Amino acid sequence: MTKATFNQIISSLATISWGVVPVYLYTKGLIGEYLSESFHLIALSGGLAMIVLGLFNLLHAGREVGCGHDHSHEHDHGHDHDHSHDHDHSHDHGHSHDHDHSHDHHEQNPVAAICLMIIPVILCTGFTKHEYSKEALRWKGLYKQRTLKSLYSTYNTEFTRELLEKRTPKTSEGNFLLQLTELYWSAGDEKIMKIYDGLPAQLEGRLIEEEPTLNPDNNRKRLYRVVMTCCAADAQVLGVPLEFSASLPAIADKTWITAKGKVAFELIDGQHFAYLRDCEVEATEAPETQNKKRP
Amino acid sequence: MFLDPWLPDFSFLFLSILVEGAPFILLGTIISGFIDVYLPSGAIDRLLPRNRGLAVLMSGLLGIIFPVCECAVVPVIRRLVKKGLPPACAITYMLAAPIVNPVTFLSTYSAFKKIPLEMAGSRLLFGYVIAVIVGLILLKVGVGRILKPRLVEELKEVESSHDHHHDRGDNFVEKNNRLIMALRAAMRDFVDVGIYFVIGITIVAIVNTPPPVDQQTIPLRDYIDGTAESIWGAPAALMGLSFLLSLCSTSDAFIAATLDTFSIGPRLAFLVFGPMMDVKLLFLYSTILSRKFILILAAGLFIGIGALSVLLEPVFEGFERNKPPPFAQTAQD
Repeated sequence: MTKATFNQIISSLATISWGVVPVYLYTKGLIGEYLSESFHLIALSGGLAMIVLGLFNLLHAGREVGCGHDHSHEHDHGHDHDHSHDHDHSHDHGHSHDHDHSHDHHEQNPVAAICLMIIPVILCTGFTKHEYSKEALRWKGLYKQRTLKSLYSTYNTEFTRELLEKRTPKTSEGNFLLQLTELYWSAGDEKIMKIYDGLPAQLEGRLIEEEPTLNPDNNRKRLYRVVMTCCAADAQVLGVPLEFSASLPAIADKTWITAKGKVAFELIDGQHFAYLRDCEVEATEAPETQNKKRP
Repeated sequence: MFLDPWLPDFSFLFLSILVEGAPFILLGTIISGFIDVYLPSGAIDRLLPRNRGLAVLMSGLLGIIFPVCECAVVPVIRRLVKKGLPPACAITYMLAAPIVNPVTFLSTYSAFKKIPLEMAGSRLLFGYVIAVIVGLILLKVGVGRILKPRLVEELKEVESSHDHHHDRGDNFVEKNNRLIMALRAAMRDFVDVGIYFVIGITIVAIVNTPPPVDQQTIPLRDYIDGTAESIWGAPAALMGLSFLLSLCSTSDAFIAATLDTFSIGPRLAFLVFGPMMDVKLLFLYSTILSRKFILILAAGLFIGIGALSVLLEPVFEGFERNKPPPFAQTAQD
């Protein structure tokens, strides 16, 4: 086996290894944990294309086809630059010649391809848990409240309770099916808070324990969702406290739940937070697309 | 354990960036492979105006016809330079294409619901002007100071071979061999670029993973929010954020839209600087450009974009003044 063929095989394997990851995540239904929905098909088709490209080149690894591109070359002298291309050209174009032609395009060496492409992907696929740890959720803002003043400026008509009721579906019990993100961002604007305050609502998200400093009476849990724009790296974690009048539910952390209760707001250290009081929760299936595309 | 949960979180982020960016790199390298085999040397150069200034102006608009994001454009440019595209034009296209293209325009338009046309148009114009300025400056700079030495050598080889060119004709190799050659070249480029991409995304993933020893460390975003009121600090901080986040230009506007504690100038700086220079691009550019030039380019873009965003802030402020006051709800989903 020549060095060029060996390089070709390693490059093919590296390309295939990169292609397998998105295809695996997609087929296992995990791609939504990694990417926003708009990237799912791109990742799948890209992964398949990488596998096809890798396999194609693997199958043709030993085949001599020349270096291919249109660099016209001298044929009366041997190239002697140091990046040698170890195949000979004998082209039948009127004047066959056999020379040591050497335009090297193999800038990478196989060790780099193995160490930087194949091994990291294998290791990361082995180590990932396909979701953030509790520590990362906290770091990404689980217990923080951000404000987004422009959220309420996207409609030209004034936002009112009537408009809210008109456009928000209700459950058979009369609870408004709010998005967690919608409630989260409602905090901070007194006019908007008045519209939401006391609203019977149902939210969906994942349950997690409340930050102890925000839970002095030990009657709260927190509902959260991960909101990503492109991929998990840019995700923000938005959380809304759930206050229970009865005992805390015995549901494991990170379980998907529906929570019913009444919307309320509280002021902590000068900042408004939305929460749901008098809550009842029950475990539910994870939605098909758990991450919102846009915050 | 020291590496738990840091390692699973890091792996999660690493893979998320990888599966997001790799398909775009693949697209660029497949285009690059076909350019390598099917596009004659100098063809692109012949398509551009002879006047170098006009050629740079036109190169900044090529993204409208060939819309590619910043990951895909690098391998394409690398090949086009080898095919004789002047580096000044190539870099103008490289910097402008991720911004001056219809996909980015539409995503920016969608993200900024209050002032969509103003933001999308300003971003496009801002990006184009910066790219063209860089291109025009580079017309005065020697190729050897821009490109990495190895690429310069390859260019010299191609040029010298042109001096005694002979027409090989289309039958020089069988047509099916050409497909193999194109896909082989594509894969070579994919691996070349992929190696640098891995280094870049490793850094991005580390920055975005909570540190393993001190969980109380404040995330970068919180530091950055504190600079919103600073005239010079705000664009600098947001450009720093875009550099570290390494977002795709087709969707970074949705992040910029949430940064609304900042005025428009800094957010435009975020939207223009990020697609031109970020951590992963720093390493991707290393496949074409000399290290010294990359550092000078990064510093120049940082200063130029930052200064322009501050100078034009009064103009940008006018966008919002002309709009009705807020208080309307947006629908989620």
